[in-house]
Amino acid sequence: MFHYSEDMLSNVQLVDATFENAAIGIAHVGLDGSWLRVNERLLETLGYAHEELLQITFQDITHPDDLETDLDLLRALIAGEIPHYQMEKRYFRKDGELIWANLTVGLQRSPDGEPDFCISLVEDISKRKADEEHLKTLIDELNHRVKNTLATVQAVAHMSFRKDEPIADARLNFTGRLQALSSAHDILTDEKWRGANFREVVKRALQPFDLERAHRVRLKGPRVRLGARQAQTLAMAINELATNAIKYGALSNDEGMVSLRWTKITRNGETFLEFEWVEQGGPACMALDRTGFGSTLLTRILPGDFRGEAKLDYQEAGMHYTLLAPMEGASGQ
Amino acid sequence: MANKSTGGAMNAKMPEKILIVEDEHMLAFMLEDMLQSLCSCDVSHASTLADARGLVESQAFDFAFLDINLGKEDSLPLAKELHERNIRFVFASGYDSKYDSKSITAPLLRKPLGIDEIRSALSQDRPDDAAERIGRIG
Repeated sequence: MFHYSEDMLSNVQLVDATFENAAIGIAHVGLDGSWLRVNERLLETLGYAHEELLQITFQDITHPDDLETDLDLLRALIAGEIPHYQMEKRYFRKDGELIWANLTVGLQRSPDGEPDFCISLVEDISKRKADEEHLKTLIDELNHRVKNTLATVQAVAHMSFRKDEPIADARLNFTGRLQALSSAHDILTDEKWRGANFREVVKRALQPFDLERAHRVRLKGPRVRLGARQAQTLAMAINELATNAIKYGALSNDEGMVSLRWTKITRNGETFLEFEWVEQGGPACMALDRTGFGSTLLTRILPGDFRGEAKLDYQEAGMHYTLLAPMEGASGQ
Repeated sequence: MANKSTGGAMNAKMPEKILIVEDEHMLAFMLEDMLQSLCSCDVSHASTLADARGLVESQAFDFAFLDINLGKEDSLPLAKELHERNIRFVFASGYDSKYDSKSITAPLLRKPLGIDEIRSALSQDRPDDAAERIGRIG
C-alpha cells in the first residue's frame, strides 16, 4: 500500500491503485468483447473469479435483449462516430442471477490512432431498478383504485339523483354518501389497502353523526377483517342506516337506541358473519322507499358484495336489519 | 345527441336478454338501471365466473357486458365461451393494460360508462362501428 501524500509514486502505480481500489467496476475490454483487465469490484458485481471472467466475453453474459444495442454502440465507438457511450443493461451473474448495470464505455487508441481497447465502467444499479419497478407497480395500483373509485362515485350519483327526489335533498344525501366512502378510504389507506377492521369501519362511518358519544348507538362485536370492497360498501350502508334512523327511526326522538352487533357463527363447519342493526324506542317504524338508494344498498348491494343474505324488517319496536354472510365473502377472499 | 354512425353502419337488433358480469354490485345495479332505461330487455347479473357460466349454460342471452377484472379471476375465459356460442358482448373496464385477450376481439367500454356508449354498444353489430371511446383489446 502507498500513501498519496508521502510517496512520490509513478503514474503507473497511481493508475493501478485507482483501477484496483475503485468502488465501481472497471475493465479494459478488447474490441472483440474479451475482458483484458478487470478490477475486484467488477468481479464482485458479476460473481466471477478473475481467471474465469478473462476466458469469456461481455457478449456471453449480456442479456439477449440488450446485446444488439450494446454492439451497435460499440461499432459506432470503434468507427469514431461517437466519442463514448452509456447504457443501462442487464448482465447474468455466474450464479444465474440477473443484474442491472449502468455501463459507460470510452475508447483507447494506439499512438497511430487505431482503436486499441475499451475502458468500461460498470455500476450495479439493480437496487434502483427494483425501486423503479416497485414504484411503477404502485402507480398502476393507484390508477386502478382511482378508476374504481370514479366508477363507484358514478354509481352513487346515478342512484342519488333521481327524477322524483328534490335536488337539495339529493345533493345532501349524495355528499353524505361520498363522506362515508371517503371514511372507508381513510382506513384502507392507513392499512395499505390490505383490508380493514369491522369496528373501525363502523366507527368512522358514524363519526359525522356524533352518536356514539351520546350513547345512542352501542357497538358490540369481535375483531373481524373485511376486504377493501366490503369495507367501502359497509361504510355506505352504515351511513344509510344512521341517516334513516335520525330522520325517521329510533334516533329521531330523545330516547331511542340503536344496537349494532356483529358475531361470528359456525354452521356445518363453515364460519359466518352475522351483522345486526336493531332500533328500539323510536316512533312507529316507516318502511324505507323500496326503490331508493338506502334500500337498494342494504338489501341488494351489501349482501351482494359480502356474498350473503340480508333482511330488512320493520317491527313495531323499530327497524331491524340483518346481514348473514360467509366469512370468506366478508374478507373478500 | 348527434348520431355518428354513417349510412353504411350495420345496426343490429336491440338485445332482449342481457347478462352483466361484474363483481362490484353497485356498478352492476347502475348498469342494469341504465340498460332498462334503454331497452325493454331482461337483465341478469353474475359476479363470479362460475355463476356467469351457469347462467350462460341455462339461459339464452343475446348480449353480455363483461367486467374484465373480477377480483381473483378475470372474465376472459367466459369471453371465449360467448364467442363460441355466437353471443355478442363487450368488455367494460376502467383499467385493462395487463390483460391480453389473445384471439378474442371485442369492443372495450371504459368505466365510468356513458349512456351513449352503452346504447351504441347494444345497437351495433360490428365492433368497428362502435363509438369513439370504444377501444379494443386483442
